[in-house]
Amino acid sequence: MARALILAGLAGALALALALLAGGCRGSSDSAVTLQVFGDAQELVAYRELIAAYERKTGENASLIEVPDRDAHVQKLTTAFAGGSPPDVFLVNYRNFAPFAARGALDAAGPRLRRSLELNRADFYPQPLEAFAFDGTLQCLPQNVSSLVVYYNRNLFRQAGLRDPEPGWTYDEFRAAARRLTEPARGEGEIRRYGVGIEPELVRLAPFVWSAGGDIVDDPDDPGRFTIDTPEGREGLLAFLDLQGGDRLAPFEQEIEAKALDERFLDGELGMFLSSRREVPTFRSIEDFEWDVAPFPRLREPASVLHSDAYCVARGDRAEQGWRFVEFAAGPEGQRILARSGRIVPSLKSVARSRDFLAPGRPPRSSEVFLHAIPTIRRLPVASTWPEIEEAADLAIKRAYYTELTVEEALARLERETAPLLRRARDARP
Amino acid sequence: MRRRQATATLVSAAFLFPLVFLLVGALRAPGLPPPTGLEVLTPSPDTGGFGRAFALTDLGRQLVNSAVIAVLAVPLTVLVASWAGFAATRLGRWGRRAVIGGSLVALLVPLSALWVPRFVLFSQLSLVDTYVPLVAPALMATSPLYVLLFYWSYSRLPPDLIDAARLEGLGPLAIWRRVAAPLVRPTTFAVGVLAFVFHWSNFIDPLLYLNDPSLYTAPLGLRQLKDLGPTDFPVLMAAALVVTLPAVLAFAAVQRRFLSETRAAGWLGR
Repeated sequence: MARALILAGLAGALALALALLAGGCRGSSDSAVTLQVFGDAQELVAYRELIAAYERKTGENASLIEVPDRDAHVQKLTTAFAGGSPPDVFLVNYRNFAPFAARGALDAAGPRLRRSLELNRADFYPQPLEAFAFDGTLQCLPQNVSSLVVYYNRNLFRQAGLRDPEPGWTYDEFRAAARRLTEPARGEGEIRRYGVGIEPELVRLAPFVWSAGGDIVDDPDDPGRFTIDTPEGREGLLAFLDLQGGDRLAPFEQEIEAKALDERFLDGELGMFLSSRREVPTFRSIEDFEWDVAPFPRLREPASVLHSDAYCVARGDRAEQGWRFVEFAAGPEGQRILARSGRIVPSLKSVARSRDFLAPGRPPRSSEVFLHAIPTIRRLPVASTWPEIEEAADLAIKRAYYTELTVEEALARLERETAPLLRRARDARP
Repeated sequence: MRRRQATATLVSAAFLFPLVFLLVGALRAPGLPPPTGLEVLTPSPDTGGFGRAFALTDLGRQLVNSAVIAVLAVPLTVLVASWAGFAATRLGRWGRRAVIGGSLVALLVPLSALWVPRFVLFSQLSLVDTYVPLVAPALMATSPLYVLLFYWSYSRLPPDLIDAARLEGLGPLAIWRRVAAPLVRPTTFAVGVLAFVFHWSNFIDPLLYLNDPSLYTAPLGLRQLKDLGPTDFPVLMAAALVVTLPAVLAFAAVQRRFLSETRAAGWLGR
């Protein structure tokens, strides 16, 4: 027994030593530029195509680091940066890049874009460029410029005697449509059809508040406090909460846990679903009914919220190599590859107006809704503690949406839990 | 006796329930809405979830990768923990107290506190994207708990036995191999199973250290499947069942040895 254990252990140690040797010899792949992304299977296919196209065009090696989900992506990035061995390039949302920028971990894209012979700042939509600025400098180069829109089931609209939403439709029209689309349960265990589905999160609530004339925070460039408690802010908040609490036009928490909103829409059990461009690749698999997208309905003024990811380059010796990849990936060729997958609204104006994005003949037939929304898009603040702030805010909003907290209680909780985090972000500013 | 059996059955049932839930979930047809209540039996068993799990991720390769790591790390862990535990019993009073106290303190250190320093170390050694960082903890017995388990087992052996062996002219390694280790086999098997479960289900280290998808292990593949919609939960359950099975089999294989050895080894009943 003990002899067997020694032998097995020594074999393990020997294998480890060999692995060490093998590890030491891995230098050959070190020259490959690395891109870390997360996403579902379809998105990853598009990124693999991007990597292959880059290698074909430049003759340089590139490798994709595929991470299962957003949390794992951030965890891996944080450890890799702290350990001094980050990926050369990574994709990140504008709501999450500030902690990296605040630590000086990024090679700023602004000066490189100015010097670039491949790209021109004026060719990009300005909204995502502003969102990826930290302390006045562009940090990462935007890949997309998505916003919150209304996905709707055209068959259910017709059955309910509703016409397709008009470009400037109002919140009242949206709500009336949701009421017409909501169908009460017919029997025990029957899945009820709901008129609308929306995730109870700050990023979803924001356009309601803005459209009502309110603001989320006092200063988006240097947030000091939440300002949803103004009369306009409350109007937007109530319009959002009423979808669930008032007429029960949207599924309740347990119902969403049993079947997610996107699944309900896919199965024709949800009339309207508010989300960003990310649903398009999956929804293109729908064969049983027609669907399209409509703009976010306005309460007083048109508004929507920016959803945008960008390629960030890690500061260090390999930044030049990383930037060369970004020039390709965020350039027309790279954006066309991603646009064809249906996943992104390109940040380059020329690609956004091209057939690669608008894809005539493929749903949604009103893809230009995403482009028309761009002038009315607003962004959430950029702050080093913003991911934590949003997490705390989401919890308060969720509890209010599911009627466990009153509006006053939710606003008080929001203030209480975000104040120290906002102070920390201000203190961390240089 | 009957009461003991009834209690044992109840306790076993409580631990068996998650496995039954896993099996029932895995045999549900993918694409069906999840059951609204607790489902004990699947109305029409379907194995489609298994096929989809292997199609959506490279689960076969990931299982092989996990097995390679377990094959390297588990014997090494058991060997080092056994040596360390035995060596600790041979120290003087103060030395023993320092080692055991140190192990207990090390046991209290949260693993997350070690992520960055360990990553820096392996990154400096250019060992990121290899299996070395995943197997290397075995050189330190993987966890102080395993060393302590061996220490407690060895310290229950009669000191006279070890002294007699030494008088016979045996060196420390020979005493460990020929006298001490055979008497703590139940602990050896127990530590082996615990180490196997640790390395087999390790998610965070492969996530942090592996970049090349062809090196990914089964827990990473499972996490990828977690993002599927609720109607595809049978796919996740099927993959979870496949990944859980080796751990269950490892325990089933060893527990018989463990129980029979416990009964046979008089030292532990002392």
